Amino acid sequence: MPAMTTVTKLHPLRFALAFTCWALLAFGILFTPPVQALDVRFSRVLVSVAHGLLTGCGGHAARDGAILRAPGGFGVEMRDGCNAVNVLILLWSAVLAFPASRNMKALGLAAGSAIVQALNILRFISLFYLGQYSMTWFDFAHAYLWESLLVLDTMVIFWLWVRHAVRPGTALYARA
Amino acid sequence: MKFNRATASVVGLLALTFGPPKAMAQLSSFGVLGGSTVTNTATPTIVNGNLGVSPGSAVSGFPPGIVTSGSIHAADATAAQAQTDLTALYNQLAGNACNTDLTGVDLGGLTLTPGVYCFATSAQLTGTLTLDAQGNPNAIFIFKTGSTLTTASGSTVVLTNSASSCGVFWQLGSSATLGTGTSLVGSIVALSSITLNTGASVGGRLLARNGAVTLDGSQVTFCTGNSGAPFLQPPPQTQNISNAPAMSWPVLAGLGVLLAGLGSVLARKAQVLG
Repeated sequence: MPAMTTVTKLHPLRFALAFTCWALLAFGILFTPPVQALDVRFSRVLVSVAHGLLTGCGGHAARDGAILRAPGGFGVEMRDGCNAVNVLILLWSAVLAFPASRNMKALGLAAGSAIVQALNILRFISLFYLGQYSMTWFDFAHAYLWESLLVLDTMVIFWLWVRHAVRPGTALYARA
Repeated sequence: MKFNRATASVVGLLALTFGPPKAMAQLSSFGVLGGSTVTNTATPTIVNGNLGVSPGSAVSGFPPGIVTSGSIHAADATAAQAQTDLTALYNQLAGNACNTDLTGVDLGGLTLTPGVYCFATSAQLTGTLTLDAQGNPNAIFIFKTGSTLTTASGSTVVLTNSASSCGVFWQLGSSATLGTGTSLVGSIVALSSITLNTGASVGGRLLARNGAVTLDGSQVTFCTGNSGAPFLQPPPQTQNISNAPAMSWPVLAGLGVLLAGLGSVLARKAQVLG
């Protein structure tokens, strides 16, 4: 005799509450001194990757800590908040708060992080070149274009992940 | 090993009185100046300020080496004038009387106050040398060697009590060789060559009169703090650094609200089997 199952809807407030808790916890951890030190190191790693990509493609740039310098003297520095960790925290919080299996959450965290950081490095490199060309364009891209793209990117990543994680007719979250 | 402020003041006053500050304007803009060649053997080498060579003309390894806040002057009038300035600076430094003879003493582990320190032949730095300005931001430290300056790998010069890298000068009878990863401050004023081994950095200037300057994954950044007067004028500061926050806090908060809303809508559609 097949087991009886009941189908219920998730309460939307439950997600919002869990999301808020995860985000507050993660930002709290981010601002502790040891993690801030790691945050700075992470920025330098990202600048190294950007520098490697640039020089690997034949571009001319030099890395000076968390600064990417151009031959003309212009430099772009990846300071606190420039490494998109704060964006990642929101994405991670959403993934962790959403009801899905552990494997799916792991996939969401890993793939989401990779995509956001890839976009962030692309953003950094584009700003490096835009700043040499025109500070007006640099400011526009910096303040409007890339912020909008990152918001859109994060929303799309989360939405696609939910579509993948919660397929019609499957139960990825089982209430005990 | 300690000297008082009066010593430093006398040194500064003598140099100010007899020095030709106007002649140093051109030289002050140079981060690296060679006599025969300037060579970069590896990336990422960064030189802050003008890079020049004269009377030689060979500059190699730029790019991939980077010159920021300046340009390359190979055997042009600017480099020639800078070399003339350099000769004057070299002689000016050499003319300062010694306060202390450190011949045979390794600079590593010492803490020195402003003054003129001399080595009859070579000078060696193994480890950390601390330069204590005793609260005087215009303090001058001069190191004079009869021949070479050599540093061991990972050696460091530390500045304390308002000491400025612009106030440190290394006047060398022949050449300088900085070991791998050495972090030196001050202007190296050498009669012949200057060689920076892999990853060595200098907060100051590399000025070679007759020989080559060789860089290898090096960073030469202008000195900071006092002007370097009376020997040199302040370095030009034309750095243009922009930071690039991924997202401002208001937009980040907006993204949080959007994610919370989207997640809530999607969660409502999701089914739970129990």
